[in-house]
Amino acid sequence: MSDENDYLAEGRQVFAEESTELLEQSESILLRLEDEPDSDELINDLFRAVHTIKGSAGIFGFDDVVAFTHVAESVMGMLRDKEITLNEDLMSLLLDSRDQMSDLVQQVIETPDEPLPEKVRETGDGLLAKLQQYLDDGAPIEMVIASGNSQVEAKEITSNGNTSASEQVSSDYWHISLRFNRNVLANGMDPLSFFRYLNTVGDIVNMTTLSTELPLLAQMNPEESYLGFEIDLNTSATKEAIAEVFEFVLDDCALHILPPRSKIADYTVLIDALPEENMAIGEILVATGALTRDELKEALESQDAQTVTETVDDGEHESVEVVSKPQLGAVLVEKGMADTRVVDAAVNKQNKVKEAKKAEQQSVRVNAEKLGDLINLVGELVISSAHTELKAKETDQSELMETAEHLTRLVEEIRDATLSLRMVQIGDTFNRFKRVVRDISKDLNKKIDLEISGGDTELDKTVVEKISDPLMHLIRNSLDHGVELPDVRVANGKPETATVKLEAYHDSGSIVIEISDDGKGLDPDVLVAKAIENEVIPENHQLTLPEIHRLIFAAGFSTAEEVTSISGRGVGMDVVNKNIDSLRGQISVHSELGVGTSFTIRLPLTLAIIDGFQVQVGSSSYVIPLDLVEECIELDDQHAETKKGEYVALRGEVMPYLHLADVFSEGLKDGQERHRNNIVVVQYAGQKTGLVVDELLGEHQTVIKPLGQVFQNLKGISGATILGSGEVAMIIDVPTLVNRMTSVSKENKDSKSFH
Amino acid sequence: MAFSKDKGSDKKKGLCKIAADSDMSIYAAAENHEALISFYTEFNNFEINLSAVEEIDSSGIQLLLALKHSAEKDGKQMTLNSASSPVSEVMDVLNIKGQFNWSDK
Repeated sequence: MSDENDYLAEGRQVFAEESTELLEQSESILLRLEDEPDSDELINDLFRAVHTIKGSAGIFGFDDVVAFTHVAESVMGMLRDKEITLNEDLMSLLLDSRDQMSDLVQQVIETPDEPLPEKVRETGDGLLAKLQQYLDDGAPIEMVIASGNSQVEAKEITSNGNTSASEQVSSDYWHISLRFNRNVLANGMDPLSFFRYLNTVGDIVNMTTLSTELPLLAQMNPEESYLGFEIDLNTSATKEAIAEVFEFVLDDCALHILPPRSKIADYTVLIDALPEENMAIGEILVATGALTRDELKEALESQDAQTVTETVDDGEHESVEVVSKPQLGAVLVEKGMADTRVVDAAVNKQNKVKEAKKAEQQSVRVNAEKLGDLINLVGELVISSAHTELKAKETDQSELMETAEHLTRLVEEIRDATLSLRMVQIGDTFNRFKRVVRDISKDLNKKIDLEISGGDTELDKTVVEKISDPLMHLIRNSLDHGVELPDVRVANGKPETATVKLEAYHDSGSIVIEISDDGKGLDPDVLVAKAIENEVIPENHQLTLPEIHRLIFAAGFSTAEEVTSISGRGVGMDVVNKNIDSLRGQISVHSELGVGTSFTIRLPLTLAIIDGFQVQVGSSSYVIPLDLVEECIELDDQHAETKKGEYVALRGEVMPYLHLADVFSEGLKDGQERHRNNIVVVQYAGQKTGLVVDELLGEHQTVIKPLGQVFQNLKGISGATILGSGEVAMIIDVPTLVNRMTSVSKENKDSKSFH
Repeated sequence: MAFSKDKGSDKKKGLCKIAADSDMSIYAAAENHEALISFYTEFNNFEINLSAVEEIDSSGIQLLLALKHSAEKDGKQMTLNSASSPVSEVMDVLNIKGQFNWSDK
């Protein structure tokens, strides 16, 4: 039954994704709660997130998850009802509980058939004991225990509050009436799983399975659902809690829930709303003990009367479905049938479900692989549309050229739209660090605030995934080495609480991520001493301050005197550097002793397709990423002839330049004359550099094809692309060239200073 | 797979002994339904042995109920026996055991 396994696996996958999302959400809610502990909204969100995890775990039968989540949820429920207040202990407990849920969820997803590992179970038991204390100290709100107390209370209310008790039915149980839609089985839901889950909310006292809608064997569609269910439930849970059991099938069923001791009139509405014959359903209600025979009689009689009033009542009679239509609430209240509070709660609930559904419709989960395929195809499309345009130009037919141009423009739009599909906001990644900062600062007894800005900055999903680990390293380093202990800070005249900033923004075709702290900064003397000790540099080597700072990226370099659990194993920073390199990004460090350190990471926006600027050097074409191109200027002959240093004056600024023909040793075609009169001014990381080329060929949509293994070590080239003509053009790696310029000029300076 | 006719079936007497498939879930519902329909036209007394059932959901219960409805309408007989523990569990949840005739109780 591989099919079945597939379905199950798919279901689990959805559960995994959903719970991971919700767990992340609850973590960020908890952290926000730390700042605003009185926010009802946050507490409600938290409760809902955890409740949904419990709900879906229940449906998949992950009992371990349900058992733990249930208790955690109860404590959150007390918090929501203001029976307990949020203090630091509870906060830590809730955060730990969230981690435990996360472990449990992971466990059941990865090894669903194995029992929980001892360690997870122990942690869970420890947390449960602590959670239970809150439950014991506060009011007893456990939902599972069908408490005799609440029944007594209910009776008291009845005898005190309501004089017309005869209108109420005598049953002490909730009555749930459930008719699934035909397609519920096809949608992958089995009604059975909901009843199993319902059993955790209360005791199913009575269960009647109705098959009156079921056709004969020959006429039935075995994959449709025909059964109806009448259930009596003994529970002290709220109506909302009961309805939430069926949250996942609300679309696929008609659900009616009647509280204990409902008015007979409510049963009238119910009987009327159900598809079965009124008398038949009435008999069932009597049989299950929901109604006595007298009550049924009264209900049916009043039903007739009501139908009359309702026809007068301009047909509001149609709005009978309890949970799914708001008008019923109005009808009920108007007729004094339901408590306003109950209706409010129901309406509230509906709105929430609707909102949730709205959010659901706004996004579609797509397999990342499919998206990758699409982007590859778009890449091919871009190449062939360039080719088409080129061929069209050769024909000199104006109509054809026009169409080709139009096509190219559309392809460009498709390209942008496709690439934007992979763009995600970096905020989620950033928010994950809040927890890290919180936990580590507790461990280290430091006081640290994490400030996040630019969380809505978008970048390619693959980049986001790969940048997360390096960021983690950098933040841990800042926390561990950068930020001082509170008393040291105070002694140095700094505020006791340190600030670590995490910032993202767009800057000329790249995304910049900055991590800065106001800690003690990098000490150049210590760095140099350490570098000499670790033989990273020879003794007496002269280095500029930025070069000294860059030493921290050298392999095997760690300045921490002691290796802590958080950082300091000396493998961090060079790995960070490599990771960022592999994303075609760059990292730089800026630090001032005693004031703080900041790391700046620059990353390309996307890894697949870029707008390029095509130039001719000698006999070959090259492509410069257009985002980096500032302007094109003419190199006047005098400069070219004299070769006085490799600098030109650009509007009063000194700008270095280099001849691409020299860099790539490009010869000339036969009969070709070297123009060499164009400078493409590129800017990278604030540094302007001129690239001298023979000819400017204009914009070109560039699909980046990675170079093979053989060319891995080629400097100055970041990839290749195929031009419309089928020719291959190299993509110039501007950052490397710019760095080379700066280091070459430094070497010149250094050599001058040495000799 | 699907439901199969047992050796003890006797066409003359119209007795059909059916061994339920191990899978009575929605995934096998179409196959099981087809098998039941083919038996239904040939026989008029059905004994279904549920001992091999490992998985059953509400679609499986529905099939049995539909067979029962048809049998009642056409004056045919239908009994169940040897419920496996998954079957018992599901029938308990749905409180539906009493709606069937059991030849072993």
